[in-house]
Amino acid sequence: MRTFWLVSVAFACVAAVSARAEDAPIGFVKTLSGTVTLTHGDTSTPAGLGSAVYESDWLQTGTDGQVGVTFRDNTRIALGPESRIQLAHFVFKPATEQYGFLMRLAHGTLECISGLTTKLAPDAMSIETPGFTVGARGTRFLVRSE
Amino acid sequence: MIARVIAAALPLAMSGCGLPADVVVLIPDESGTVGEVIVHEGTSTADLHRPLAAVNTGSEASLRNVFTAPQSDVSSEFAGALAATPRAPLIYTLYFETGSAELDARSRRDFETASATAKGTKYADISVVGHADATGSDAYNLALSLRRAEAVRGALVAAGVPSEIIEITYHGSGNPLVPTPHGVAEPRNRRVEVTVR
Repeated sequence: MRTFWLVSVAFACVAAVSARAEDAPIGFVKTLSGTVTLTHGDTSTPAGLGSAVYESDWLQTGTDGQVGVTFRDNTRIALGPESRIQLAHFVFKPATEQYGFLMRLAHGTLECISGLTTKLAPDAMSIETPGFTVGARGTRFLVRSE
Repeated sequence: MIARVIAAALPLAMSGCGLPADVVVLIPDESGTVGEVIVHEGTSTADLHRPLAAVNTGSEASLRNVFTAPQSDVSSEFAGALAATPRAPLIYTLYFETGSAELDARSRRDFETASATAKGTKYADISVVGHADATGSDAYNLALSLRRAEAVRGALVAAGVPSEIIEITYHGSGNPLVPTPHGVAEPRNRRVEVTVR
């Protein structure tokens, strides 16, 4: 019985991972300068203009780095130098009215200009930092967490 | 007046100079609109809804003091992020004849503009979203909104936009621009939205 459960859990994990891998990009890098690293799963690569970003990815900028991303819901973010953020959760399905947008700013500076998510679902977007949480009703704001 | 000066200087005094290390600032967007953000920390909450309204998020207690951030501090301390803001997505709304995937006359010119922008934007990604009005069955409208979106995608690709950067979705008569009862013809709902990001 116990083995059965372990096997089931293992299958569920595999299914979850492969579903994630097939997911569509949630946004694209539109502006970039200096050192910017994109972490997708266990793989970190230098981000470039046009790089696709996926739910759960991390973006990190070096001391000379800055980067801007536009998401599928038209939300835009920009990170200043020495910043690290996870694009933790993104659901944008207007046809079925499902929305959710969560970013985790580990440290650094963030500019956010919200798009359709806050317009269609005013309570669906938030930014978490180690110390505090920002509920974004819209539209443009700045966050620094050190 | 003196009280105001002291109130404005208080956050500066607490952090030495400039903005606090941990801070949230609400600023106007490119159209001048000021939105609203709610900051939560422990059991405290701050509601920012005025231009340059800011709060020191260093502690629950500091959240009670919403202050106005000096524009010069905001510009200099967030210079990196503010220099990297992607340009606003451009949205083109194209309209169709009743029951048809043919653009109406005035939308042909808008299509030309949309396709020129799509080709002229480096690292563009484009979404094409089809809609129908509320005449006809749901199944018919869903199929029609898909045909409209596909017609626009086909025209964009024919104009030289790479198909792999175009994502299409379709909503039938759900998500109308102008809500109407079922069965009502509404030209403004017979549309495809092309967003060039």
